[in-house]
Amino acid sequence: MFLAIKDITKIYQHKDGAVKALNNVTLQVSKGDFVTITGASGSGKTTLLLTLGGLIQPTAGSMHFEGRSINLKNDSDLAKHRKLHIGFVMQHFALVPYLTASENILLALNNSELNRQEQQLRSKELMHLVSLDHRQQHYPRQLSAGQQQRVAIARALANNPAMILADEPTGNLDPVLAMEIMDTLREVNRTYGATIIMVTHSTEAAAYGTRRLQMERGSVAYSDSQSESL
Amino acid sequence: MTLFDLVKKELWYRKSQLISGLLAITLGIAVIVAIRSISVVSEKAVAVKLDNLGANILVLPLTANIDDYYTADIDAPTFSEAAVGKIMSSTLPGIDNMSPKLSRRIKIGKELVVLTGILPKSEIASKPLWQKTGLSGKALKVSCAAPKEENKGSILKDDKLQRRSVDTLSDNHCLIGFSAAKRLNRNENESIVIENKSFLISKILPETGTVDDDRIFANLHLVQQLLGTGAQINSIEIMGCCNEISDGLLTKLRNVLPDTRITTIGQIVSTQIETNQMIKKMMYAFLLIILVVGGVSIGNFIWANVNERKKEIGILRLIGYGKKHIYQIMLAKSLILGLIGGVVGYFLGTLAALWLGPMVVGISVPAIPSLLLMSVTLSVAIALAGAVVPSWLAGKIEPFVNLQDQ
Ligand SMILES: Nc1ncnc2c1ncn2[C@@H]1O[C@H](COP(=O)(O)OP(=O)(O)OP(=O)(O)O)[C@@H](O)[C@H]1O
Ligand SMILES: [Mg+2]
Repeated sequence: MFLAIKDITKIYQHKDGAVKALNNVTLQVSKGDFVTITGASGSGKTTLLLTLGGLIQPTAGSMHFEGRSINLKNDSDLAKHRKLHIGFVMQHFALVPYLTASENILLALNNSELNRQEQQLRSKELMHLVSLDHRQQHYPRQLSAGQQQRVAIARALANNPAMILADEPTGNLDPVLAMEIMDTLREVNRTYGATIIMVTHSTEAAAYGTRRLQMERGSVAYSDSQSESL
Repeated sequence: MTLFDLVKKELWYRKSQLISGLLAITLGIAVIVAIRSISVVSEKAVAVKLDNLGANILVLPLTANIDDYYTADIDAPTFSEAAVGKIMSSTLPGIDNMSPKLSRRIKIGKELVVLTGILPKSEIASKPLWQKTGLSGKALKVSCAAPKEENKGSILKDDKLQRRSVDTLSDNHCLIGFSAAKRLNRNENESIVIENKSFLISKILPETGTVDDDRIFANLHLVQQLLGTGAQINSIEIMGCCNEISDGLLTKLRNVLPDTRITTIGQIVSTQIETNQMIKKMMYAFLLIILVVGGVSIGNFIWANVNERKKEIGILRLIGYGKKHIYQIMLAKSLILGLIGGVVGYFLGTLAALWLGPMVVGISVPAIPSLLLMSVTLSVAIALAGAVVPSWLAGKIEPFVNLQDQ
């Protein structure tokens, strides 16, 4: 199995009392899946996504990635895991404001096997992929929302990740741009075979999924294409 | 795009923050360097002034009191000149200068004067033991042929006396105090008979207003012969270093010379010690203030920076940077601040000292290059110390919260 999590529970400790954001979630994802996750606000979608990305330490449970058990306690192992295998696309783009588009991509290539020159080439190639060849030296604030999100997608692809985790990637975009971004993601899924797990509130975006999940109060409710349309 | 590139770009992006952060540490270092530069010179100036105060330790015979030292009575007790050799061979640190003396009241014609035997510099320097201890050349300043006309204050009662010494004083020469010369009606280069021996007056000393004015100075060993005392003296005046005096130099001297009475000329010593200690205390007080203020302001700067950068830190974590890298980034940043602050602070402080020294303290201050190393080290240490806690907190930032909001 490409990705498998078992009995993941996440309890946030808060001064107003503990919040159980994930409740015994067990989930398996096959290579090449385009998984979309929908669900009410506060149902635990972001928590699940960030747990899959190793950014949140679950209170209990285990995770396997490409057959290997992931040590959820070791920060530098998790960081390395993210760098090599995972690309993130977030609602607010998560670009560093004082770096140009291509520098944002180069930041993700730092410490990779590529030398400086190869890193530059790779960054050019990625900017071309998202059709932003002429915007390489632009800062995020000089780019439109859609362009910023495409830079973020280019950066997510920098290290040829096996999996892309996206949290409401179209949440900040108008419907036309949103569909452009969704097309780009589908392309990434089809041409590069990257597994995509995407959280979204939009049914149009969710329709891009080859497999659709719904979350309810910290648990996953499976659903297929037929029941999804209900 | 290395981490260092990232740090540079971030520093540049938040220029105003960088400048205010730098200002705190740079000014702090500048103040330390300025104070240090000025105080090094003023310590030297003070040391020279203190030196001019003269001897601060007296070695007297066991049975003597201070009055004997000043009055030089006929029957004033004496002790063996061997004490001089004992002090020398003890090589106690902190003994700058010493001068053994034998004084007696004598009559020349009808006039009462005090005959004082002193050791000329050449004779002291020729003693092999003293050369071996290295004291004859540098430290042993049995000199001041021409009494200086400064420091006439009341506490400096024996000022001129202490420093009365000559380079050479051959057996048939003597020096005469101002009023003694007057009373005896003698001029320079005339001869005078003292205790049945004829001397040539090589110099009449300028008036000092002290007991010295009534003295005749001649070679100690000759005076011993004339008075028939044998190798006896009745005082050794010692110039001790202030720090060593407060460090128990007296006790050590007493151990070396158990058969003598060793006292300090209290006012002189306490003035010297107080002055030196005041300068030191001031330095430490400033240093402490600056360490605290500098450390806190750098810490505050990094902390504000961490807060402002929560989102960026979240982004870095997202794209594969571990806590370790976050620490590295924050520490690299404070290292840069520390380096710049240290170098700029050194030059600012030196300029300030060069400019303020003559104006405020009235002494010209040279640049002290070795302070550059100290200021860079200090500045980097302050910056790193101030950055440790905020950096650690930065590493703990959960990317989750920060990626949610714009
Ligand atoms: N740091 C935190 N401390 C305490 N509670 C938290 C924290 N983060 C999230 N929660 C709670 O955990 C639950 C799940 O939050 P999560 O953000 O995963 O939901 P979501 O499905 O992504 O919601 P949305 O659709 O609004 O983004 C919510 O009840 C939320 O209030
Ligand atoms: Mg969410």
